[in-house]
Amino acid sequence: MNVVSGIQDIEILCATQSLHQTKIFLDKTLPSIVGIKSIAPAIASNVYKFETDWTPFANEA
Amino acid sequence: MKLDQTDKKIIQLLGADARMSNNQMAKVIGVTEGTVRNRIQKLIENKIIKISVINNINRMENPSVAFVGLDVETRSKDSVAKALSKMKEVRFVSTLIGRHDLMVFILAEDVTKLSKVLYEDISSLPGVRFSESSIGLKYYKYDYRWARILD
Repeated sequence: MNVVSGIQDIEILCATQSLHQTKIFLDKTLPSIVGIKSIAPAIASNVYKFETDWTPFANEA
Repeated sequence: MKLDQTDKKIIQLLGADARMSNNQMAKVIGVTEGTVRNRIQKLIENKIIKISVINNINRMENPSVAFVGLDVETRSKDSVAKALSKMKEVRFVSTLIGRHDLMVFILAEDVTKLSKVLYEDISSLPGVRFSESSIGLKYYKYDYRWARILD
């Protein structure tokens, strides 16, 4: 989860175990957070590359 | 592959410390070292887990992260995604159902390098029509324990 500059304020990459969980996250969990004005969701349909060998460490994030 | 509680516990322990020995895990879970060894082997063979080194992004002097939505010609979607996947600085590529055709995460050593990737390398790919970038300013959470394991 990152604060970004651009057309959005925050970018989130989330993984859920089912479409139902995605629906709950988008329809209930996110809108319940105070301050969220709008969301622009998109679903990854086919992942070509996913490298996670460089990350911010938790205590420095 | 269906995971049982032993598999899930092994994944949990390795997720916290991938250098934990099989013997240590066996004691925690209450199984033999051989069971742990065999389970790990099967988890890796079935691409349920992958064991690798995680680098601290702060090792770079001025790391720059960009989240890029790309609009591409429909017939070029696959070729653009494959070309993007070959770029070293591109860490994530996916087709999207939503606001763009492709989503790309870029990690560059600095802003100059990021600019080159965005405005020279990606923009020059045949089929790319439009890009919309967001630049990462502050990281709040980065859980690297879940990823799509690819060949």
